[in-house]
Amino acid sequence: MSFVQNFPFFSIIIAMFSGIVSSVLDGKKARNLSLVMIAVTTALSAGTLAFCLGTGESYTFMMGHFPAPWGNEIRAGVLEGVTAVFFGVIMFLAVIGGLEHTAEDVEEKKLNLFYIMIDLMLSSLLALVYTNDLFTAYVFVEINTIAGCGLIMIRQKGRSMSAAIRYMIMSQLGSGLFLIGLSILYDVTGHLLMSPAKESVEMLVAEGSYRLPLLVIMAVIGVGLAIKSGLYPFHYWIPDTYGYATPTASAVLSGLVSKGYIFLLIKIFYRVLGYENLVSSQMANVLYVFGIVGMVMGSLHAIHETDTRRMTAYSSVAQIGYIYMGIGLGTSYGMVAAVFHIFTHSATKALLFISAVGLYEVSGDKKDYVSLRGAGYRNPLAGIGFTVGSLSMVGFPMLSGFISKLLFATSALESPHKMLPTLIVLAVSTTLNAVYFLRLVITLYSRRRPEDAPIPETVPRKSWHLRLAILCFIGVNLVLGLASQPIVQAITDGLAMFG
Amino acid sequence: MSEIILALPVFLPILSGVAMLLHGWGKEEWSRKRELFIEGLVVANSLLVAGAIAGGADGERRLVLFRLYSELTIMFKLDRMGSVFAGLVAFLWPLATLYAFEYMEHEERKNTFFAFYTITYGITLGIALAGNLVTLYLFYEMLTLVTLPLVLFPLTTEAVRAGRSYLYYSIGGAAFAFVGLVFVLGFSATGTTEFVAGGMLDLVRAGEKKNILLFAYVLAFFGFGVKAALFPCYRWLPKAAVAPTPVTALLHAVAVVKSGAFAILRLTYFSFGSEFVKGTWAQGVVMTAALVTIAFGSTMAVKEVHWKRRLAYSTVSNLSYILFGATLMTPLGLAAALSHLVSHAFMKICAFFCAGAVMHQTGKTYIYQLDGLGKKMPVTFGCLLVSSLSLMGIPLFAGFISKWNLAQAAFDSGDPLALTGVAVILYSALMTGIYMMTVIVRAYFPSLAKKAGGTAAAAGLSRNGAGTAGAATAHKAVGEAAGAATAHGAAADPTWKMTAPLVIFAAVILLIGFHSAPLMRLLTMIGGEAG
Repeated sequence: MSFVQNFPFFSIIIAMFSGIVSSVLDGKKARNLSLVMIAVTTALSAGTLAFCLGTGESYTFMMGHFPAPWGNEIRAGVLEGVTAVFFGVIMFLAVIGGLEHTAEDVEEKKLNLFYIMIDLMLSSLLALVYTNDLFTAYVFVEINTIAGCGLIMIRQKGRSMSAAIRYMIMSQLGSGLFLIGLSILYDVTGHLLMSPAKESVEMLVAEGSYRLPLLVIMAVIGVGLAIKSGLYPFHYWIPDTYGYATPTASAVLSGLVSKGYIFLLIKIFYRVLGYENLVSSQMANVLYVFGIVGMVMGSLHAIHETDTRRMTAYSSVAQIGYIYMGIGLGTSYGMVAAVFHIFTHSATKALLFISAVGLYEVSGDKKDYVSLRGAGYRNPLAGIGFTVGSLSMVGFPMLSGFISKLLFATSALESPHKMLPTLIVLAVSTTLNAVYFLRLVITLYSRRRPEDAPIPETVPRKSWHLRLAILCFIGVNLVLGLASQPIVQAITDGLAMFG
Repeated sequence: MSEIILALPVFLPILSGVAMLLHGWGKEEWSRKRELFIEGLVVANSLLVAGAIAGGADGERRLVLFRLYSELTIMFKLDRMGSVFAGLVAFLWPLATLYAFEYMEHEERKNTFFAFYTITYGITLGIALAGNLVTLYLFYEMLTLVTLPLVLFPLTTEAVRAGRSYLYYSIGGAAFAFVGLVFVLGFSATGTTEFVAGGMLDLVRAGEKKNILLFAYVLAFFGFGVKAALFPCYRWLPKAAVAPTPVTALLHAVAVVKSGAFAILRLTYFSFGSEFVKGTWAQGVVMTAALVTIAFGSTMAVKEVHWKRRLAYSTVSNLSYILFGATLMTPLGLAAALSHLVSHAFMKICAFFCAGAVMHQTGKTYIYQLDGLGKKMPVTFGCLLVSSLSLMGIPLFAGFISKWNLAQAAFDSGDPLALTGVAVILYSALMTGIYMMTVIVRAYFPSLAKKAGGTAAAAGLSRNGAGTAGAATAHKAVGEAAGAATAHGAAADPTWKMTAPLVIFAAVILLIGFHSAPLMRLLTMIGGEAG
C-alpha cells in the first residue's frame, strides 16, 4: 500500500484536529490555522487525485481494525479526488474573500468559533465525499448540519437566528429521514458498508423480494438528502439562511454544503442502491419532475425578490433543480452533466455572493436594487465579478454555465421521452435567469437618480483579499468554461469506477 | 498564414475598443485625435475585410481558434454568403462612424460610446465570418452584450427600460436558438456544427425524428428571429429607438437585426438544409410568421407619429421580407432574401440618418413638426426622397430590385402560401408609400399638409390607440404646423461629415437600382450552392 493512499484519511483528520486545536486559540490564529489547513488538505486531495489518475482505479481504505463486512471504510477514486480538490479551492477562496466581513460580523471573542465551524465543515464535507460506509456518512451528515447551523447564527444580527433555527429544523428532518432509510436498509441487507450492501441489494432485486422496502429506502433517502440540499419544494430554509449569514458562510453554504449532500446521494445511488434500480423504480422520474419544477419556480421566486442577496439565494433553488433534473434523466450522460453542474454552481454562486459583498460595501451595506444603482462604477472589480457570475448563470459561451447547459442538453437527446421537456425548460429557465440576473447587472451600471437616498459614508474597505478572491473565482469559472474537457472526462471515468 | 486575415478584422476592433475603455481617452481636448484614430482604425479594418474577400471567398480558408468543448470549435470561414454580409458591414461602418462623430459632438462620455461602437464592428464581422453554428451563437450572444451599453447610453429611465427589454428578448431568443444548436449538433452528419451548403444533418437519423427536429427548427427560427424583430418578439426594436441615431441606424437597421436574419439564413440553408424543411408544417409556420410580421410592421408604421419609431416599425416589416425570402426554401428565395438584406441596409440607414440629421440640426422628433423643412435642408431631404422611393419599391431604385426578386421567387416556388405572400408584399408596399410619403409631403409641401392635416391628422391620430392623448397631440400638431415655417427658420443641412454618408448611400441605392446584374449574379450563385 502506497503512502499516498493515506491522504484522504489524513485530510479528514487534519481538518478535524485543527478544529479542536482552534478552540484554545484566539481568533486570528484560528483563522490562520484554518487557511493553512484548507491549503494542506487541498494539496493532499490533489495528491490522491494524481494517484488515482495514475493507477486508473479506485481503492478503499480501512479505518480501524475491523475488516469488511464490519468496520468503517473510506474510498478514493478519480471523482472523489476531483470533488475534494474543488471543494477545497472554493472553501479557501470563500474564506479569503470574506475575511474582513467575518471579522466585522462576528464578536471578537467568538471569532475562533467561526473558524472551528469552517474546519468541521470541511472535515465533514471531505468525509461525505470519501466515505464508503453509510454509518460514517450519517455521522458526518450530522456534523455538517451542526457546523452549518453555527456558521449561520454566529452573525447575531437581523434574522440570522431564526434562519438558523429554520435551517436546524429542516436539516434535522432531512437527517431523520436519511437515518430511517439507513435503518431499513440495514434491516433488509444486514450491511452498512457500501460494497456488501450493494451485493445484497442486487440479490434482493434479482429475487424480487423486499420490493416495497427497497422502494421506501430509495424514497426516504432521496427525500431526506433532497431536503438538506434544498430541492424545490423543500427550499423554504434557503433564502433566509443564505441571505442573512456572513458572506463567507453564504458562499460556503450555497456553494458547498448542499453539494456535499448531493454528492453523497449520487454515491449512494451508484454504490448501494444501484442506479438502474433507481431508473426502473421510477424514482429517477420523480426526481426529474421535482428538478424541472424547481428550475422554473426558483427563478420565478427570484424575480419577485427585491433583496438581491435573497434573489441570489432563490437562484440556488433553481440551480439545485438543474442538478436533480440531470440525476433524474436516467442516463449516465445526465449524471455527468449533474456532477459537472455541481462544480459550475459552486464556483459561480460563490463568485456571486463574494462579489456582491464588494458591491454592498460601496452602497452603504444595503442590498436592494435602488441602493445598488451605479455600484458597478463605485467598485469596478466587484461589478465585473458579479457580471461574469451572472453571465455564467445565463449560460454565456466560454463560461462554466454554458458547458453545464450544453451537457444537460446533449444528454437530454439520449432519453427520448424527456428530450423536449428538458430542452424547453432549459430555454425557459435561461430566459428567467437573464431576467433577474441581468436586470441587476443593468442596475449596477445605470446612473443614480437625484431622488435616490445619498450613500452613507462608510469606512472604505479596500481589501486585497476580496479582490484576490473575486479574480480567482473568475479564473475558476473561465477554466471550467474553456478547459472543461479533462474535467468532464475525469467525471465520466470516476462515475464508471463507481459502478 | 493567410488564414489569420480572417481573425484580424474581428479582433482588431474588439481589442482596440477594449483598449479605449481601459485607457479612458475621455479628455475633451483629445476629441479630434480620438476621431482620427477611430476613423483610421475602422477604415483600415474595412480594408482588411476587403482584402480577405479579395483573397477568395469560396469557403476553402478556415481558421480554428480554440475548442470550447470536444467538437465545439470556435472557427472562422469565409464563404460567399458570409462575404456579402461582411462586405456590407465593412462598407457601412466607416461612413456611419463619420456620421456619428458629428451627431455625438455635444454628448458626454463619447469615449465609452465609440469604444462600444467599435467593438460592435468586430463582433458583427464575427457573425459574418463564423464558420460554424457555435461560433455564430457565441458572437450572437456577445452582440447582445456589447450593444446593450449603446442602447442604455442616454441613461434615462426610458433608455434603461428599452435596454432591459432588449436584453430579455435577445437572451431569451438565444436560449431557444440554443435548443436548435443542440439538435443540429446531435444529428449532424459530421459530428460538428460546421456550415455545409445545403445542410449538415444526417438525413437517415434525422428522418426518424423528423417532427421533433422540425419543432427544434421552429424554436430556433423564432429564437434567432427575436433579433430580426419577428412577430410577436418585435417589441424591443421600436423601444430601442431611444438610443442615439447612429446606433438606431447602424445597429437597429443593419448590424444587429441583419445578424438575426443572417443567422436564420445560416440555420435554414447551411444547418438544417432547405430540403429538410421544405414542404413541411414547419415551413408553413415560419412563413406565416414572416408574412404576419410584414403586414403588422407596415401597418404599425403608418400609425406611429414619432419619426424614428415609425422607421423602426418599417424595419420590423422589412426584415420579414428577408425572412419571407428565406422561408421559401428555394435557391431563388435565398438569393432574393440576400438581395433585400443588402438593399434594405442602404435604404434604411439612409432614412435613419436623415431623421438623425433633422434631430441634430433642429431637435425635431415627431413627423408633424417637419413642415417645410424640405427646402431648408435640401440635401437631407433629397436623400430621404431617394430612400423613400426605394423603400416603396419604385423601379430604378434598389428596393424595386429586391422586391421584384422576392415576388418572382414566390411565384416560382409555387407554394400557395407564398402566393399569398405576394399579396402581403403588395399591401405592405402601399402602406410603405403612405408612411414614407407623408413625411416627404410635409417636408416639401407644408401648405398641402396643413390643409389636409387639420382633418386627417386628427382622425388618424385619435385612431392610433393613444386615445385622447393622441388627439390632443394632433391638435397641438396642427397648431404648431402653422408656426412651423418660422419656428425652424435657422435649420440648415449639417456639415459634410453627415451629408457625405447620406449622399453616398443615396448613390448606392440608385446604383443598385440601375445596375444590379453583378450583385444578382453573385447572389444567385450563393442561392444555387445552398438552396
